[in-house]
Amino acid sequence: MSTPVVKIENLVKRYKELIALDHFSLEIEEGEVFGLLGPNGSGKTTTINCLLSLLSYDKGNIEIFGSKMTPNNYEVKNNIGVVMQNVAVFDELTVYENIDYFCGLYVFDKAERKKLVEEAIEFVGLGEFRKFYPKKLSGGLLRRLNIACGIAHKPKLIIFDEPTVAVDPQSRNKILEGIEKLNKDGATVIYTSHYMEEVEQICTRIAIMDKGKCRAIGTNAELRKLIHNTETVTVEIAKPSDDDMSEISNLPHVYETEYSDGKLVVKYSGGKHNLIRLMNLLSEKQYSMGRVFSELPTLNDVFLEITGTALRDSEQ
Amino acid sequence: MQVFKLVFKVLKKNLGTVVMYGCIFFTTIMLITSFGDTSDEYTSTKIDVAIRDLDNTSASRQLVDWVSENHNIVDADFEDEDELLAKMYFNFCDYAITINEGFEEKLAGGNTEDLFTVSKRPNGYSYGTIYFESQLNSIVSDANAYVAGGMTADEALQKTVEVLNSKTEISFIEEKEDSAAGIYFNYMAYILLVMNITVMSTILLVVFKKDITARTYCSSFSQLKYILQTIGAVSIISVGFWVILVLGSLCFDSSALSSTVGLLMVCNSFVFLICSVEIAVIVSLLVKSSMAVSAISNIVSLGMAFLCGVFVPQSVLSDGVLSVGRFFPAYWYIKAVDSINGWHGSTYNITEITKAIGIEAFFVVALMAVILVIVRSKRTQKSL
Repeated sequence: MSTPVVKIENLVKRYKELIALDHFSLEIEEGEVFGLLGPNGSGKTTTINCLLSLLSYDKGNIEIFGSKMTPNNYEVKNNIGVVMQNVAVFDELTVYENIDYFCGLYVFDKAERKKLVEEAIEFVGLGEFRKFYPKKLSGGLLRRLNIACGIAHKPKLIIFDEPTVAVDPQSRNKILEGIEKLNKDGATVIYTSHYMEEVEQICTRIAIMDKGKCRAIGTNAELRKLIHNTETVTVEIAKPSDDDMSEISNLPHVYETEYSDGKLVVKYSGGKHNLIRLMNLLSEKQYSMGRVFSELPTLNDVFLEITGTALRDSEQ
Repeated sequence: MQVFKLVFKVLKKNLGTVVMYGCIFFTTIMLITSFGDTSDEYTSTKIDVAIRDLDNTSASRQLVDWVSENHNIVDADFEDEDELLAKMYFNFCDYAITINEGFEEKLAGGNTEDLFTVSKRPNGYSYGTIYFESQLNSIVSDANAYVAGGMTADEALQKTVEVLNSKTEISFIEEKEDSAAGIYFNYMAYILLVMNITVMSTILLVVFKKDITARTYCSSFSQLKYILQTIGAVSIISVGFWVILVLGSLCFDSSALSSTVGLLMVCNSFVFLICSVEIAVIVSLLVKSSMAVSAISNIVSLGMAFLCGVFVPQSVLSDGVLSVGRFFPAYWYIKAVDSINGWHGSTYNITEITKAIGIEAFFVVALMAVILVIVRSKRTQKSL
């Protein structure tokens, strides 16, 4: 079995009385796009900061590329690229100078660095803006510059900490495509976000974090299997009688029924042909129906069931 | 040398500010040294007076003589009032006086009413005309007093004019002349403070911006190298500024640096340079935006300059101001400058100079301690 790229064991981080990370453990294999999903304050950024030795921790162990991560482990740091949540570039330097500066913190050979900077500029599509100062760039372009500064030295492990916050949909897609491309080129990626759609789209494995703990870990499909819900059917319909509601609840595999705002929501746990059985029953009772939806569980459902709150609700 | 080069690139962006402050400083010093030379002689104020003597007595002629000796007599046609007023309006004449008939007689009788008829400029008084009127009043009242003492009008006026013409020699208390180089080094305290706080704090704020520092500390570039390269670059820049400023003193006095006095002033300004750089570091540690740096730079530099005697000599500052000023390094810098130049009641005293520079050096150590405390407290906050 190969050595994991990242290994976190029983990590504990306290801020006075608050426990930010509570015996958090994780292993990330080479070539993965690993998603850290959780609401604000769940411990994602603290985990990343501990991982990068920007924060000291109270207990536990962190290994990267099989080597214990310490502030002075420059050999390991040389293979890590970081794209911070906040855009961290110099307003006083041009796009090219910024990328060159941050690449220069890893690559000292000028000729090699020049090649890498050009590749990074091309990768993020900032070719025509190379002489621009950051203040002249739009929010999306600024994010791309932020990414270029983090990946120019071609790291083996790249950490993206919420890179798409406050980014327009077009730039967001471009960023996500870029991350997938970096992964295809061989980089292992850690991606933190509270946008479930993004995590579902690009991550091969996901850890759900809440209150400093790892609540669940697995692939998208594995996480869905962890929960009771397998299918949710929504039907636009006039309010069924109590007897009919009771009959619907007694259909095979139904574990929850609810009627509100002209919509009947029926939740299933396992089973096949659930939709057909429900349609037959409602036709038999001569209900006229509007639109009908059948949805598989989303990560939000997974999150909801595991943490007890919806991810969006916990953001507020 | 990534960080080292970065500091110079950031400086390049702020070079406009440096040049602006430099130009203002040099221009100010040039103006002060060119126009600030005060003479130790006084000259009496003279006004243009038109005079007509209708009495034509010995007493009135004495008054005419006194006026012509102490003021400029201008010709005027007293019969043509319009012309007289026009002359006054166009500043050819400040004051017109007619000595009325019976001047001597009235004076001898102790009557001071209607001795003269006067015409003044229609647009009001000047300092000169008020002074002239006061002189006339003084002559009349003094002469009247002499008459009351038993003198004739002629004798009384002669005595009054005699007394009025007597001059007192005034000499200044020994005050050493302000040398151009001395003035230059005096004002250098302000420019060192304002330039270092404005430029160095801005550079440090950029280089140690929270997110940028985090990104740098994530890299394989060591923290020690990062800090050392920044310190190195900032030191070179500040010493560079200082060298340019010190050499600038040669523009005002080519021999400024070749004497013991010059060397002492260079030494004094170098110690103060370190203080001002440390103050700049403290500002950069406490302030979050470069906009705030500009405001704080002005408050600190102007505040220190006024409290410590950069703009106003310490000898004329109140005890209260001086007792506050003592807590700032600029006070001791100026104290040393005064002592080196023997200004403002100070005398050249090597013990006093060494003491002042020594206290500045103490400030260097104290400010360094403050920096370390702030850095330590920031680290603790970060790790919390």
